[in-house]
Amino acid sequence: MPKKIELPITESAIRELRIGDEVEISGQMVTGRDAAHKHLVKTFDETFHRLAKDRFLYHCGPVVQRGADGEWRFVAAGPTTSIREEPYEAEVIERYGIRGVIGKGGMGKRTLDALQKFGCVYLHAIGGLAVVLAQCVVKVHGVHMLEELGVPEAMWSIEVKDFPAVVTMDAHGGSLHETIFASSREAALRLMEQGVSAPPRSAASK
Amino acid sequence: MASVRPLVLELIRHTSCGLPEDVLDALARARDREEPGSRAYSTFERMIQNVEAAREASAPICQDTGTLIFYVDYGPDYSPHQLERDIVGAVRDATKKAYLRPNAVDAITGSNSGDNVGVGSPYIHFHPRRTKGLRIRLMMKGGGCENVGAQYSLPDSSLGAGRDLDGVRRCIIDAVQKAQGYGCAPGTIGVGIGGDRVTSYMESKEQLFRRLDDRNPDPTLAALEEELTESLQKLGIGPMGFGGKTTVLGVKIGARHRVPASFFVSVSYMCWAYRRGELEIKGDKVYLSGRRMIPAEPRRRTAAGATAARTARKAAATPRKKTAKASGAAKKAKAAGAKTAKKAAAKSTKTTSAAKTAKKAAARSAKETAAAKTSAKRSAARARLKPAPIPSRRASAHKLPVL
Repeated sequence: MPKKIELPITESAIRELRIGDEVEISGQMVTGRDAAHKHLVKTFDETFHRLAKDRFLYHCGPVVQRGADGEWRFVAAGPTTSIREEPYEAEVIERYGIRGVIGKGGMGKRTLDALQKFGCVYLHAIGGLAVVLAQCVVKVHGVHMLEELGVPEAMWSIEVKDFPAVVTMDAHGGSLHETIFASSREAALRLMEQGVSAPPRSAASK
Repeated sequence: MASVRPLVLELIRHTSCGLPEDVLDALARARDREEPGSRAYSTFERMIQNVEAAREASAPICQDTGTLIFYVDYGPDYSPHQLERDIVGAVRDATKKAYLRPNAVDAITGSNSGDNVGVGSPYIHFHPRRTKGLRIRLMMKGGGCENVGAQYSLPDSSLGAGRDLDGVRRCIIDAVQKAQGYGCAPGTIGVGIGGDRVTSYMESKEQLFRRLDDRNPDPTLAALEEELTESLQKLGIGPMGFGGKTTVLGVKIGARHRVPASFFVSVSYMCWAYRRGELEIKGDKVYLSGRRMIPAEPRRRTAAGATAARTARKAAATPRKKTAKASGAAKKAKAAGAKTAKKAAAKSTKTTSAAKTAKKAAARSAKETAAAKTSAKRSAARARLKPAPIPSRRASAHKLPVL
């Protein structure tokens, strides 16, 4: 059964999570991707700090629609590949007091160390699950730097309900990505040694 | 030649907001191989749910609506210049309707064009053909999976890969293992052997236009495809790299002649959200991914009540106006001459009786739709906000997406 997570969240609650845990997240969080990360390490962004402290940062560039009433609505909002934020993420976690990073594909050693040091986890959402995840976004509170960054790159403050994800990097130095990379590398080398079982082209055409 | 812009818009909607049947079937089979209750099982289950939800809402199944790759085969009855205008126009329309995310970013300034149109975007290949008609194939390839593509130049000593099929096989295994879940596994692997750097990659992409359940006409490549589709599952990467029994949905391999000095192997990874579609025009018939499209009677199934009510209102309103005009005309005509007056009067009577019939019909249809009126109003409002849904494959295999 997935564990329920309510935002904002405390450091001790974050440290209870372990790799492989399935969770469902509810509460307010914020999106941010490439341009946002670049901006966040260049300056200290007060607005972002207020939106992100003790909450989660979601690597997502959504498709949004604005209704006649002026309300924004998320149409498609799956995660984007997180590794691109590897040069920035450790610093962003430290500066802004983020307790969780949601994305896909996992992140590197520097981020893993920051997770352990500052009490944060990496959560893997299912890539391409845009509509189901957009339906988990029950309200858009607002958007930060829309003019400067454009729709996908802007920082959207959103309210989510039962947003599904899997903890793949925890605050204890564990990484499901490292485990699976190692086991799949071994399997790949074994497969390579097996060689081609297909008949050579000339024999097959006879 | 008539504008194909609305048809291409429909192709984009259909491609962005759903998955081909063969892909959906492969995902269902992958789910069934996993233990119910496991992480892999629930991941596949959510993927399938997402496709259903996307179809119902006409929303993109993935927010990364990707690079738009069009392959256009056009007959002598079509002009590539107008086709280009229509396709670009349809891409703009689709972005406005949020079937596409604005995805064209200036490589130097970083600014987003906002409508998916830019230098080299959308990406259109034109192929003239002798027979009349038109075929437009569309692939939408997300950035996450595009980033894990790889090109090898053989021999590659780090992999022990020589210039033969065994070397090719080693490259494919290496690329899939390195891709992990980053490209949204389970992926479909397109492979191009030979060619130059460009055409090798192009071959690997073109392979992804094939159906998952087809068979390579080359028996050697067919055998390799089948063997790898089975063997690569042993990597255990699973959906999204969470671990599991399915790491790839399929492997598709093509070969091109190369110059003696070069031997490239290019691997294109297509995410599980494998969006490809095809629009074909044969005579006056239009097919969307193999199914006949019916351009007439739009939205009848989806907002039946709304349409009926609208028609009824129109029928009631239009003749009344006409009658007024006609009687006005009759007055004028009287002054002009009796002959024309008679004609005008006859015309006016005709329209009046037509109005009566229309009114009757309107009353009847109003009665019929009385029950559905509130829901019609609601669905009309909804129809303004979002377009007609693409019918679910399971619920209505034969219902066609309409314009």
